[in-house]
This record gives sequence, structure tokens and C-alpha cells, in this order.
Amino acid sequence: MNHEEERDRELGTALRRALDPGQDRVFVARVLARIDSAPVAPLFWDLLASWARRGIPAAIMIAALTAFLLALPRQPAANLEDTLTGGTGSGASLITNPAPPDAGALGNTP
Amino acid sequence: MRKQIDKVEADLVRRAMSGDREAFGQIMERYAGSARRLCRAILRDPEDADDAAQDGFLSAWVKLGQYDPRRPLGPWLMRIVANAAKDRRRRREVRRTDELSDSLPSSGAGPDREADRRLLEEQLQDALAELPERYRAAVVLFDVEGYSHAEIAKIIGVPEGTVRSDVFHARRMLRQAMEDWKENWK
Repeated sequence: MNHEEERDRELGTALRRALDPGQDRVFVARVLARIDSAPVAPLFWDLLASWARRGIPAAIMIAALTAFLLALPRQPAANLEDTLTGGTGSGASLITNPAPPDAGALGNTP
Repeated sequence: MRKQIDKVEADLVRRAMSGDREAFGQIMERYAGSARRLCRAILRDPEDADDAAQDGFLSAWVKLGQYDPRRPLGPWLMRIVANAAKDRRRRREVRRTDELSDSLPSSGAGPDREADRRLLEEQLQDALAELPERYRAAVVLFDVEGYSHAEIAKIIGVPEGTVRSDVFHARRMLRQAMEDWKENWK
């Protein structure tokens, strides 16, 4: 297939005539009148659309992250009483034992 | 000269981007003809075409903040206009249940120059109507508006090789219409 790189001026001129609607100034005035009459609405929708373009992927990522975190296996939380009374060798015995701590354990008894 | 024109256009774009509607009006005056012809090539109906070109310019006014001033304005603008025309065509196809018939006027036109010219225009419009939409847009953007194959590829959203092929096929059919006209009026 032989593609021509140059414009066909004869065809171009004939097509231009065939398609030319004329009165471009009238057309431009009509569009400017539309811009004057409703300048805000298209901006609003465009802005909304631009937010949606960024917002939808962000919302999907947040939802996926939340679902992932919710699906993680969780340890049952120990309550305070168990922590204070049940543990052995922990700091809890210092609080719950009525006898004072044996100072001799430190090896410097008077 | 071309550089000077580009400088003027760059200034108009800068002003329009800061909300100067008069500057945008001057930009429209530069591109209105191209935009309306492109829409007419896509949609065929002159009123629909003007509505689509209007949609395109309104959309361009709204999206002007997204335009990169380092790139040429024409292809960016024509892409928006072409998309507006395609959108309108899609909506029209949904609305329309039966195709409007394009009737050619009677062949009783006199042999005067004006009548000859009108007949050629009608034959070309008829030949254009026979072409697929993409061929019409490609050949009008190339042979009438002077855009390069690469620019047209971006405007229409197809590969450059496809544009070359579309222009080739469209020309073959349109040239045939011109030859027929020449034969008739020899």
C-alpha cells in the first residue's frame, strides 16, 4: 500500500468547501454566550469527576486494608485481674502479697 | 511568522487559563472552522456538528487547566472536539430509530460555475457519507486541516499506521467522486 506523505491540496480544498459551514463569528458568539450563562455547572461536575478519579482507587485501597486487618487472627485480651493475681514471678505479686518483700534476697542484710 | 503566531497563541492560552473569556473567544475564532468541519465530517448533519463543536469548546474551557502549554494547542483542542462529536453521535444513535435519508437535489443544476461547485460539494458529501467515521475524520484532519499522521493518531486515538491506512482508503473513494464530477462536466 502506498501511503502518501503530502497533503492532496485539490482534494483538501474541495473538501473544505464541502464541509465549511461559514459564519464562524456567529458560532463563537453562541459558545461565549453559553460560557457566560452557565460557567459554574461544568466546573462543578468536572471537579467532582476529578475527585472521583482519585477517590475511588483510594477508597478501594482503604477498604482492602481494613478487611485485611479485620481478618488477622487476634489473641484474646487478658483482663486486669488475671494479670494482677494470676501471674507468677511477675511484678503483680509485689502488689497483691500482704508480706513485705524480703530484703535478704538482695544479699545486703544489715 | 509561524513563531510569532505561536507566541500570540501562547499568550492567548495563558490569558484564557487565568479565566479571560475574551482570550478564549479569540482562540475559538482561530479553531472554530477546523472544529466545525471535523464535527461535520464525523456527524454529517450541520446542526448536530455545530452542537458537538460547541460541546467541545465548552469542555475545553472547563479543562483548560489540564492543558500543557509546552504542547501544541491544536491537537489537544481537536481531540476534545472529536470526542464531543463521537459522544453526540453515540447519543444520537440511541435516540434515533430510523436513519435520516440524505437526498441529493435534482441533477438539473445549470452549467454555471456556482452550480458546478455545489454539485461537487454534494458529491463529496455523499462520498464522505459512504466512508466509515474514522476515515472521514482522518482525511479531513490530514488534507483539509493539515495535521500530521502522528497528530491525527493522538486526536482520534488510534495508531499512526492506522491513520495512514485510513487516509489512503478515504482518498481513493473521494478522488473517485471528484473524477466522476470531472467526467460529468467536461
